[in-house]
Amino acid sequence: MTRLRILLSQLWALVRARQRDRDLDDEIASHLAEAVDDYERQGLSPDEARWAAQRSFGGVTQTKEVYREIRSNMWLEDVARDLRHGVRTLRKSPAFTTAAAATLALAIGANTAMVSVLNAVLLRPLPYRTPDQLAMLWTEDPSQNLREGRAALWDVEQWRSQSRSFEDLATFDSVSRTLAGADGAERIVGASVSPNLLALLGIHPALGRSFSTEEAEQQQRLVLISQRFWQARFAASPDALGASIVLDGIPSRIIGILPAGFQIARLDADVWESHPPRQNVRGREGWFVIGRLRPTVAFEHAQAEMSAIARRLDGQLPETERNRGISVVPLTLYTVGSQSQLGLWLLSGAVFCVFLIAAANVTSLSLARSTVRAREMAVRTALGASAGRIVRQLLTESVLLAAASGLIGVALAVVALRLIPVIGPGNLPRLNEVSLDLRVLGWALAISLLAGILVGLAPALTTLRRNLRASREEGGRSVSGGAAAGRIRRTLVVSEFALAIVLLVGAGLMLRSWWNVRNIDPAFRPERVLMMELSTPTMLQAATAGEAAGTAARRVDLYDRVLEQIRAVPGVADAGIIGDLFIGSTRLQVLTVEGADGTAAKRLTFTSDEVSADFFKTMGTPLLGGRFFSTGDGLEAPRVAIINEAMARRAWAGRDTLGRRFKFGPPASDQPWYTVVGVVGSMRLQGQEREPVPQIFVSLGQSPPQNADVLVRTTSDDPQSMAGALRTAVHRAEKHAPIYGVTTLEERLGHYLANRRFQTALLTGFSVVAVLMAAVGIFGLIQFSVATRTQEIGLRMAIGARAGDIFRMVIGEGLTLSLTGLGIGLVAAWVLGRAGSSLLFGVTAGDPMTFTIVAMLLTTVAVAACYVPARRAMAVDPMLALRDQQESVWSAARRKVERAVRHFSSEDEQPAVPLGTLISEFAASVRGAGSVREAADASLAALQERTGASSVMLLEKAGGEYRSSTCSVPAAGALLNLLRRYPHPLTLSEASFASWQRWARASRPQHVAEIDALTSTGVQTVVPLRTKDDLVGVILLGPPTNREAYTTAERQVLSSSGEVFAVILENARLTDRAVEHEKVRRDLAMAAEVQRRLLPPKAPRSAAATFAAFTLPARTIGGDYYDFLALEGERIGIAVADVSGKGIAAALVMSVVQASLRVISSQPDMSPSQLAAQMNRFLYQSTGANHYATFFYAQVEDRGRRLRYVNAGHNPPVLVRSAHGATELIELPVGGTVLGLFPEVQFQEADVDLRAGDLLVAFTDGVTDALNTAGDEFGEARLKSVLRAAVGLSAGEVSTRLAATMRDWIGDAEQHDDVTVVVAAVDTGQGATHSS
Amino acid sequence: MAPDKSDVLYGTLGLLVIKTLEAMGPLHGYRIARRIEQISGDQLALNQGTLYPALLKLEQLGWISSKWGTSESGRRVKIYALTRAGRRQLDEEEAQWQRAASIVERFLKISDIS
Repeated sequence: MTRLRILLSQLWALVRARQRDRDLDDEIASHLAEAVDDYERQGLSPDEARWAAQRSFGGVTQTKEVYREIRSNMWLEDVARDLRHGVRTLRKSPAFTTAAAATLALAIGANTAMVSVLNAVLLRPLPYRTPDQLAMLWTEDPSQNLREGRAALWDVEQWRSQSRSFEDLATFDSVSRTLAGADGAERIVGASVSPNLLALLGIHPALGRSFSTEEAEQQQRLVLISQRFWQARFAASPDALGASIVLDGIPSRIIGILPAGFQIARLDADVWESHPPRQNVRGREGWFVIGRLRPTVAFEHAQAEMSAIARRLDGQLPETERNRGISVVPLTLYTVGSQSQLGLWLLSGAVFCVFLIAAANVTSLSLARSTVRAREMAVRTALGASAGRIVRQLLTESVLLAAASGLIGVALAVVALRLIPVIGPGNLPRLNEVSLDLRVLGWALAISLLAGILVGLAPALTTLRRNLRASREEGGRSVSGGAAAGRIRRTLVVSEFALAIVLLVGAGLMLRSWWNVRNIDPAFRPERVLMMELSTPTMLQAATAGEAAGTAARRVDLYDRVLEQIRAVPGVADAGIIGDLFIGSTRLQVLTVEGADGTAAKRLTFTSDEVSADFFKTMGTPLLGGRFFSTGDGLEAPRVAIINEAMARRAWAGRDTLGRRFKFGPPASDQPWYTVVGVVGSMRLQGQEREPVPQIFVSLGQSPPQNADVLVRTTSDDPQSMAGALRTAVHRAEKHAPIYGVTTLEERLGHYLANRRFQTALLTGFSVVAVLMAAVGIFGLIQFSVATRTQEIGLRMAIGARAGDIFRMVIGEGLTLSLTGLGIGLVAAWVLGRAGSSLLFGVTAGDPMTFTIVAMLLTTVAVAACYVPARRAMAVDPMLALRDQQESVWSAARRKVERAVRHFSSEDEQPAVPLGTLISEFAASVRGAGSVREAADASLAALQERTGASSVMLLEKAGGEYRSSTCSVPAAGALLNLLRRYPHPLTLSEASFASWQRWARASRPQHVAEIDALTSTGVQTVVPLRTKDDLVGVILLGPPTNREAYTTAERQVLSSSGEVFAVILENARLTDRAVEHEKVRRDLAMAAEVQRRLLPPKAPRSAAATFAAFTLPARTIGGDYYDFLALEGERIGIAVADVSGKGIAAALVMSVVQASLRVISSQPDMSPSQLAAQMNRFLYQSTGANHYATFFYAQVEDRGRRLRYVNAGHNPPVLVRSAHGATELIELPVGGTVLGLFPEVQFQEADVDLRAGDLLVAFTDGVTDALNTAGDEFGEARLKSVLRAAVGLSAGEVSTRLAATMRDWIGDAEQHDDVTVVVAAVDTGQGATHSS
Repeated sequence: MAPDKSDVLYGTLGLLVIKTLEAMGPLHGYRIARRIEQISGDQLALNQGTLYPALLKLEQLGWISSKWGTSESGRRVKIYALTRAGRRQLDEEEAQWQRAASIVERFLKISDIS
């Protein structure tokens, strides 16, 4: 209760925050005034009284702060402030905000649109009562490729009576009806349903009533009409109920109007009539069957039961229809189709991948920004913001960004949804239901939040990490925030590539499938063909069997006349008629076939259709054998048939087909025999993906159907334009023959490919977007990486990396990332591809070609994206980069301080003029300053001028004391102790100094000196410089000129400017530390690289001697260097040097040594002593006297018989000589002093005769100085004993043995210096070897 | 900010405030502060500013109420008064304080002996 009460009052306070602020101000003002009154009454002067009142009150700002904290729920107010701050930050960087918001908005929009479709088509329940209990029931016979087969009413009755799983079963089918109207007849789509269908679905007519079973059994002509029909025909008038319409010439009474949009299992009819629910004998008709499961009955259970029933019924069925199963398919699944369902899920997954890539990109962008904003965060931390606060602020910012993007995204989705009926596939059901409902909006909200958190979390975490590190006293070798951000960004780019590849592979496979599908010959030419449906007039319907012959003749005549009239129309090339071009159901039927091996009844799935003589010519279907129909194949002629190739294969095994006979039904049936007169190509009218259906065509002249499709091949590119002329032509032939559904054949066919086209196009679009985003992502990362590594690149170039190396390095960095992503992506694509393989056509999920092309494409994209940054890296001027190092760090820091100060002054709502002026002066001085020091000095000057202080001095914290150039006080001293307790400017009058001093002498003698020192500075006011958890410094102000003391207002200014000053100092300190840390880290890495680069890759070979060398690098890089030089005259030069210093400086000197050695030694007739002198000069000139190197250089001459050397301050190499069983060690000390210290030095050189088997071993002091774990030096004695034992070995063997010895010696001990050894061994003459 | 520490501080200060209000009747902020300082014989260096957050907290708890009024010198001030809930709370707080104080006292004594 208490909690609630507090929360309520906090909420109330939030509403009236400003008023409450003013109230508190008033209250404090009154308080102070009362106190001043009191003090004045006690005899203080007004000024003194005011000061005393202030002091006894304490910090006003703090009071307000704490008060506010209690008054309002801090959290709420923080959120509000974060939001304001977020908006401001985002507005301040419009480029980032626009790019990020646009990327996210597009991704969210695409997701929302896609999910809307998914939702409408798959997720939203069908608009029936408990639709998940509805199922379609099919007869099937997989061995005959019969699926989704229909059932006779008699069958359905058996199922119903035997099944316990189903509450009820209903039947329906579409019918075609001619509707008579005032202006001629018209074909409309109708449905014939069992009377219980609507009740089973739980649908009630919007108006009127449904059928009763009696009415259906009596076959009363009653109809329900669709809402659409009602509106079009009856203007939605209620009078429609009871009205009569004439269908197929028979008046039918309207008893009800169905709800808007009502359809069942893809059947969308305008008039709904009923058929009797059951029949006593088994007919040959086929109905769609729908059933409602009893509650709690599972589909699997129903399926099991129906399979059992199917087996039981087998005996009662005609032989031709045995062995069929019954399959139970959830209505939802049937309505959408499993292909479309899988496709939609895949597309939704794909678009979610695009979203992830977009989020990754924006995250990467904001990480880059956070690296740049590190200073802003450091300032905020210094100002007292906790890490949690900063994380929350960053998250608020990104969630704000994502929310805005989400709003735009939803708006985009609304636009996209408008387009969906246009671009969506026509055969995807329920597309008309697509809309943004709560679920979709919820999804949009969810992914927006997800984006916000993803985008904000990474920068927040790295910031947190950075702050943690900064707060630790010693950063050590922990990962810096910047490095962590870099690693996250690299991971993001890798993920982006992986995702993009998955999408691209998907799109590639779909495109190949599309290509394959398009390349299948459909065996007809659909272009330029117009199609229309024609219905013979109702008076041409035979009422009795007797009339049939006459009716047929009249129909044939009608069709002839129609074709004649059409052919007369200009622009018509050909015209033909077929009973039903897109004949729907393929039933398993019995066909009696005369074959080579006698007559047999076969059960086949096929369709039969009636075609006119010119039909195939019009369609462009090839004749594979025999002939087309002719006018001779009339009513009186023998029955003839043409079959397609599929039929020929199925019924006659594809051989010897022409002239064969067959008849429909079993051998005993009274159907007439047909003779096959022609074989045509199999038309793939159901789409190229489907296997062609076996077809039998009979002559239209022998069995004219009631309705037919007329096909007209035109010479026009726009056949539809001829529709009017053709309509007139048909009308001329027969006034009462309704024509409808005029459309081009291509349009009708496009329908079948639409779904695949939709999926392919969308997936391709998504993957292109994904690749572009991934490219942008890697470009941004590499560009940023190059920009932040300018100095490193400059250094690399300074030590000899060529532009090409740099280019390769940058491209390599990009390629490493993209190839990693590529690897992951290809594996993922391969796995996912199998899940979606049923969508593919003629290509496997692991298609190597697609994978190869995609891999190459993406690699190219990655290289292209890295090209620009790589070029930029090449263009780095090494000198500039090196010189600017110090400068650029400072100027970056300076910009941050400026921004921070500006930020501070705008953030804090304190309009006090003097403070504002002072802060802008601080900012100005910082802007003009060349270093942190200068900035601080200039700021101090501004402070002095503004306050009129007679003196001003800054004591900075440094170790255990606070000091300036002239004064220092201990951190544990009296002043600092005081300041720690009183966080405000402290006034120290002469009197207080005196009493302070007395107190110190009496009880704290250790402070006496400090207080004396302070007194001597003439300080009157001390301003502490405070950050969150530290006092970074103290400003000592002398008294104001011409006045006694500072006014209260001035004190306030001093207090506030102290805060700003603290920020400046803290910031500078943080900057320096970060820069220093980063510099050391890079330095070491660079130096190691330099060293590696400078050492020769392998030792040379010579006819007379072998050479070898090894280096064991120390962890902190030393400056060892060795080289072998192949000189003219088959001489070999050996050089060993040890450069003073460590790190990058040593590395630079090393590179000078290497470069000069290579250049100088290549000059002809250069003696070792001259070489040393020249190198000394060169080194002195290029490094100044700061660096030097010890150097030993020797030349092996005269085919290994002579050694000339010079030793410049290097520890003497040893010549190991074994003669007559005794081993002699000769040191080689002749030369001069070290290189690089003095401008001109003379060197001596020495000649030594070499003998077969001599060993020359040069080493650096790292060898003799090496310590083992016990702390003992390796020492010269040990080295020499090892060398003695090495007599007779080759250089390589000596080197290997020595390296092993050194490693063993050092073991786990820390290695302080590089260990380098160079060995030359003179061959033991004529290939003979000593055996030692 | 360390809420725990503050809570203790406000808690103690809160007891002083309601005790003062009980004894003196409705008062404005400055008077409450002075009164606490006087009673403590100026031993308690009260940072008067800290009084206001404490007053607010007490008001939120419903132990005191406030309304704008006029001080003796005619200034517009907020005058605080003990509510009935506050009066009830006072007994409880006092008892609790006594308990706490006696524990500390005992503790100090034991420490002295050892």
